[in-house]
Amino acid sequence: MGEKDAASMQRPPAETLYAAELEILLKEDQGKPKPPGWLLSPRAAIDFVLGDPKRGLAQKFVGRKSFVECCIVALATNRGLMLVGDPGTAKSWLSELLAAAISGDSTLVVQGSAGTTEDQIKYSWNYALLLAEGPVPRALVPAPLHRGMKEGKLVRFEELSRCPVEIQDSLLSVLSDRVLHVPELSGDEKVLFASQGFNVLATSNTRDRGVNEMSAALKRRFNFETVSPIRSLSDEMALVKRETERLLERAGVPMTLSPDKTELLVTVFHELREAKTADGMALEPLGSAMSTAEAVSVGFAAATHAYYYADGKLDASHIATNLAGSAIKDSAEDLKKLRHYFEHVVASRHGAHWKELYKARDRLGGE
Amino acid sequence: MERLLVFPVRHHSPAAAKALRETIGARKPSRILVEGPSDYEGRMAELSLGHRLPLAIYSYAAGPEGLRAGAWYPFCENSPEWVAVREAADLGIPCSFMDLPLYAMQALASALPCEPQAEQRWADGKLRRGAYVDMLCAQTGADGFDDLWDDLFEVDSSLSAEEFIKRCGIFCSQSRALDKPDPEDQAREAFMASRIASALDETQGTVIAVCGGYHAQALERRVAEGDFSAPGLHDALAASENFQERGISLTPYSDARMDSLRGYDAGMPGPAFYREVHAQRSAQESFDSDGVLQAVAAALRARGVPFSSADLIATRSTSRALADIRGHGDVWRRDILDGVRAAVVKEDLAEGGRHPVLEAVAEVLRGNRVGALAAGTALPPLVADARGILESFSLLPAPEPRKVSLSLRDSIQREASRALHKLSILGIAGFVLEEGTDMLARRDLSDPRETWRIAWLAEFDSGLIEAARYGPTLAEAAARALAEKAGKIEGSATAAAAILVEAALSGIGALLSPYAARLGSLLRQAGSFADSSGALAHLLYLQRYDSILDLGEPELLASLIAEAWRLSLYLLEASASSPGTDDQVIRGMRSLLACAESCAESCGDGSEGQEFLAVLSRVMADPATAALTRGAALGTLCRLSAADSETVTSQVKSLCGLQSLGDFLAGLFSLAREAVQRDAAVVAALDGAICGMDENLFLAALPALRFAFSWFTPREKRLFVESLAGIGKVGRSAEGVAFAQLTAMPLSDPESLARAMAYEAALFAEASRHGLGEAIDG
Repeated sequence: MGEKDAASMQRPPAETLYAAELEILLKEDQGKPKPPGWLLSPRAAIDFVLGDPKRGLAQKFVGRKSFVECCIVALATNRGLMLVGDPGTAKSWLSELLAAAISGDSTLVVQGSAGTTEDQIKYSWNYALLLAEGPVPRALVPAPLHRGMKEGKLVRFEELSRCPVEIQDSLLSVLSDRVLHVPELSGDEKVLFASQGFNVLATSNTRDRGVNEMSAALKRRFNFETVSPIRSLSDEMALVKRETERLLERAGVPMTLSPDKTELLVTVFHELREAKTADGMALEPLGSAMSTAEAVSVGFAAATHAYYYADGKLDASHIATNLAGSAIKDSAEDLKKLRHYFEHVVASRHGAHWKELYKARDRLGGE
Repeated sequence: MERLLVFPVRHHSPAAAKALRETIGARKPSRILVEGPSDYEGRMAELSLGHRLPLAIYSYAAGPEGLRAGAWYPFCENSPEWVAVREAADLGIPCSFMDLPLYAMQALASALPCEPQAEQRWADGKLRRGAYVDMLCAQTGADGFDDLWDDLFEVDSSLSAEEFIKRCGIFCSQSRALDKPDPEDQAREAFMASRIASALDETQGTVIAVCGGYHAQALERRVAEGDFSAPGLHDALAASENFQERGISLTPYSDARMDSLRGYDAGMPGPAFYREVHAQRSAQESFDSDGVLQAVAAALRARGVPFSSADLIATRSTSRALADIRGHGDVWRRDILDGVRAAVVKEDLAEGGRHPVLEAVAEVLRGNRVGALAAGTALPPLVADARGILESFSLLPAPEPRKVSLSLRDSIQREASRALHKLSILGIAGFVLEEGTDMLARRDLSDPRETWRIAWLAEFDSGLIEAARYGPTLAEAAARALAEKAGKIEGSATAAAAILVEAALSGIGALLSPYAARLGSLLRQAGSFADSSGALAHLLYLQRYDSILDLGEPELLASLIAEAWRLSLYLLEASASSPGTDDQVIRGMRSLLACAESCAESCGDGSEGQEFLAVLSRVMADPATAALTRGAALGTLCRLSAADSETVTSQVKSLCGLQSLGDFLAGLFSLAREAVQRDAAVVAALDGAICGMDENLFLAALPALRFAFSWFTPREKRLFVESLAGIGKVGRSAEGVAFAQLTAMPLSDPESLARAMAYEAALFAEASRHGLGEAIDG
């Protein structure tokens, strides 16, 4: 895919976005041992995900190295990898990065939902050809799992636990025997053996409504790794600033997030998520997930708002407005807790930006 | 070759132990010095007596102004300090401890601003917290000091002794470069340097000084420059006169205590894992983790966690793969932990979150060894005193638990009970008071008894040795420990009074007088009815017990009781709307009642009693007061014969149709169930009030009503029902008896009964809607 293509895409996949880095790592990796079917060696994959400024590798995911090691090792063994955790902790992004590093292709994705069918996971048919020629390989339309097994690539299964249990369990034989049966075909074509390099990388929310319990049999075939929210405030600030500004740039909004606004935004999210202020005072935990991803979207929305309606002057009131609308959404209970947070924590903070935020408290609305 | 080698170690590190053993073998020193308490000098031979590890040197010192401290220097097989001591013994060369004695460190800490020190003196302390460690962790991606240390020093079995010394020296000096040593460090280093210098003077051969890496470079510099001075050092050493009570002794230690992972005390985690590493690597080059994995599998299965062979294979392969990707030649502690977690834990697990599986693994890595001292080890005087006392009463604990019943009327058995109470004040394991006569309820005061459960636990010996810091005899130690506990109480009159009870039970009432003033002031600070009435209960207990306890000072006790009584009355009225939990209110009211009754017996003064009645009447009549408190006040009035059945009836009637009736009755019955039950008019009023509730109200009040009636015994409930049946329209007919039997039946499932009633109510409503109500009801 050319650079021009990437530029015209609304959101290019990780392997396109970081094609140059993959190039560097591939060169360095020559002669190093790697699991069969892998693009990069396990260590290079870690470097790709966590970044290394000295070698020109951008930091793409903020997390502990030992955690990423566990994820990569799981994919190298004969079990699948299941990333679990609160919404907005970058599970899908991590899964995309891992697929890009290990298979060079992060596009084999099944999006799990209550309406996901086996067709969308395994394969379906081109009915015109099926009628004309009968069940021949040419008439088969491979879905991501079929392609991944055939091409020896990672298959990403997003939100696996949203699928009905019987659909989830259709993965059982694929994960244990690494075999997909296509009973309609004949001869050798009846059985598809997975090529080296194939594995399943699933994600699943633990806090959302509308998820199904997984069967014990399926759980056994996955290694579970929990993606944690970012612990360090300064890491989170750097990430939110970087990501917000990237979104703004793509949206053609020539604005940046100033350090004091970033501090406001990230501190509020961090404290509400941990249900504890920086100086140790306990807060009522919120039902809404105050994730880093939400902080980025609030930052993005506030800046866009300021650009179009306030001559580009981003102040705390834009953050307050978007905090209620975009992060808290429809929970009246959480809005009450947020207001309590403003009255008891924000009110007593020093610094002009905190005072400004407190002044904008009526923007939270819902009185 | 230099005559002095300062060998930097991390305490309990197997790599340091191995490198030290090799170095001693190669350099053949003529003296070894170890960073340890120098006042243990002269008893070094004791360390070779054939103890079972882990054990610790325990040092204690009591100084002026309540300065009192104890510190441990623990040893296990993989401690470099232990290796140094053992190797010196094998080579037949002198080995001595070179650090400041504990009392000198105490004196320093009280004179100069020093950082608080760990009680476990060989913790990692400053090395762990340094900015350098944070920086290295950020660069290497290690999860913290323990993993960083493992990666740098422990995992690579081919690390030579020279390389270890060099690497550890750089690591520690870099850590220290970013961190300023405090006055205590400087004084200790000056002292250690002077000891090293005199050792060098005394011998022609090589001297090896083993010390925490944090101090190594400073020691080398000080010895080279002859710099043996530091602020406060001279005064601290001279302070020994102020610390007359001090001692040092070996004490058994345990894996669990070695693993203590909190704050300043954090040392090497997972002692059993590193012991295994040390044992295997002493015999061969590599470390095979299969034994640990099998122990993990066994532990998980013993806990009922399904852990199949497939899981074991997955754990093993994941651990191995993790070791490979992390560049560990041998599968290491973190690899095992992550391997088990990845393969077995199938749920969301927050960072640092707890999980039964991970706890089982941590337990295997920790181990369960308990040390034991060899016969002939010198022990502090308290141990002999306590043992002697226990022996004289034939109460020495044995591994087989036994129960001992003591009669407190018997003077010898009372002494035995006091000795046991003293042990429990000192927190000595293995002595549990299972039951005792309840003095406050005045049940069976003719023969007050206590039943103790006595068993020898591993912590018995170490507990006594460590309690030695409080004093040389059992009585003295218990008194001081109690005084220390009393000094720490803040804002709780109940806890302060409980101390008095403990003092009385253990026969150290002499403590009472100096403590009474403080108790009085704590009492006056009591801010809640629950707190002041709790203190009152304890004080009453003491008064009742007085004939047995010979507390002396009856006037003092009486004045304290009077104070607690007045305060409780005041607080009852002042905080009547929220006096405390149900339980606290009922107990407090009972204490007041008991106090009123005993005062009426002893002094017969009417004025206090009149005030009590007036307060109760006001509390009962105040509609702002919580219903349960009002009920309890009324119940108390009944008990004091100050409320007639008319008052009770009118109170009950005034609450008719209110949901709070249930709470009110709970308070009333908790204090005056007999008076209520015997009064037919009251029973009738109750019946009317409850029957007058509509279905919804009844269901809402049901939980409180159930609680209220739970005060009655089954027999009383039956009587209740029978008398009701007699009152009601059915009379003592067959129907009435059947009703009585029905309601007296135990309700195995109150919820389904409530559901049935709700259903029935709906049924009746439906029937009367169709004009059939009369027909069904009839």
